[in-house]
Amino acid sequence: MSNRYDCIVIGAGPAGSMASLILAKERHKVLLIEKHKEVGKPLCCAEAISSKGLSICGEVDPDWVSAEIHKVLLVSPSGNEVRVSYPAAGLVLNRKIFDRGLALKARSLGAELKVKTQAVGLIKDNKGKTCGIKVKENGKDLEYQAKVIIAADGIESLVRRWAGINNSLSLDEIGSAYQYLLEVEDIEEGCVEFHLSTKMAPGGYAWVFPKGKGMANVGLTATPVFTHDLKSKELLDFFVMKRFKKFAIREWMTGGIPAYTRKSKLVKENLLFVGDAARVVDSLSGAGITNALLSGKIAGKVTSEFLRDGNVSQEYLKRYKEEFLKIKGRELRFYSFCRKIYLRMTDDDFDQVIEFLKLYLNTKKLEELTPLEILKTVLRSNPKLLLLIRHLV
Amino acid sequence: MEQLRLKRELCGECGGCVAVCDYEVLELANNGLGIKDNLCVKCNDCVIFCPSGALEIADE
Repeated sequence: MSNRYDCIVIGAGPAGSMASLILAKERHKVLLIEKHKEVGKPLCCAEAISSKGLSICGEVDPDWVSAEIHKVLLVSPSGNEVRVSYPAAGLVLNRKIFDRGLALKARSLGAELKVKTQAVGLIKDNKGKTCGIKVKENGKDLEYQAKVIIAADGIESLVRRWAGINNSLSLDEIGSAYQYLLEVEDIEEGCVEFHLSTKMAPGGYAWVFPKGKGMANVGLTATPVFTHDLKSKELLDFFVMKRFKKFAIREWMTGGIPAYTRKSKLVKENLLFVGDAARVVDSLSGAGITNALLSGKIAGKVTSEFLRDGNVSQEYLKRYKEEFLKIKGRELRFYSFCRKIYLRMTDDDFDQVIEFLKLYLNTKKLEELTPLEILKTVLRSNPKLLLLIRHLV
Repeated sequence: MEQLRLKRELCGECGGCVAVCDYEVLELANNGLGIKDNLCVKCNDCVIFCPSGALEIADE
């Protein structure tokens, strides 16, 4: 079999599989590689996504979805609650099935999928241009060539490092997350919970995402600069003991959640970065699946256009960044700004915000509001937050 | 002599430690997290980040 491809995609998560799927659909020769022996494992994700976000995949396989979300519960540090109905707010995925399903969909359209195949370096031609990758495939050292490389190799992206892009995140630009899959009794199916407290989850929050059949993803993210030697696992253990009377741990997982910053790079020459490798994550909530899918889709589309027209220069690939940021740039920058405010908020601020939301949301139909609109209203509601904004702008 | 150590049974292979390391000490391969100890400056960032306490700097 030839070792030449139109495009090589590194990493078979949602972003990589989405890019491969789009390219395969357009009949390009695509190689999708995954370093693990199975797609979808290990899992580092809370699995929640909006219905609109999942629709980026096109036809949704019902097996991808564990549960639907109809309600949102916010709990303040003092225990004050705001519970709002939000019909068809979103879904909790089964990422193991979803990731595998998306990769197999790309394969069924013609992408070549290789597991246990790890990229270990880039190959440059005599002009210094990237023309392929070196891999370790089932223990063998091999090389594959391609016109375009799409890096979907996650938060730990080594492709960024090999491309000479400043790869590291500072300790206030990353969430340190720990999650259990719990079997629990006292949860409301369809209602996702967010618990805010600077003591319980410094620079982050704890969540409960029901998955149906008495199971729930229960996790906590904290910003490492604020945790003072306490590990996210320890903080989560405190939360779980407080929140649930009876529980059984079925699985555990850890996660690093990158924040979107101005350093986030999407394109370098013929290398395109998607998903967590591009750091296109909502910096406030840490949600990343929608942006992973969208970045993969647009990267695949632009690469396909570039490959189809042999006369355009490599500069054409920058359209991926332009098109993605045209749709998501404002939102990513706004959430990044909100994160800066969030990290400065006290428990009193959280209590006031929840109190305000209780009054505000009682007068509104939530399905008619976007999360962005709600956030803007919250920021305007509190003089201290307005002062913080003035300080940060 | 101090050295960066991994308690493999606690590592969730999330890759966050790789992302915070400025010195390319850590790499996540298909067989788990690898440490190039000769590059480590013991800055402690990966230890502070690690959600499960899988990394520590301790005497050899």
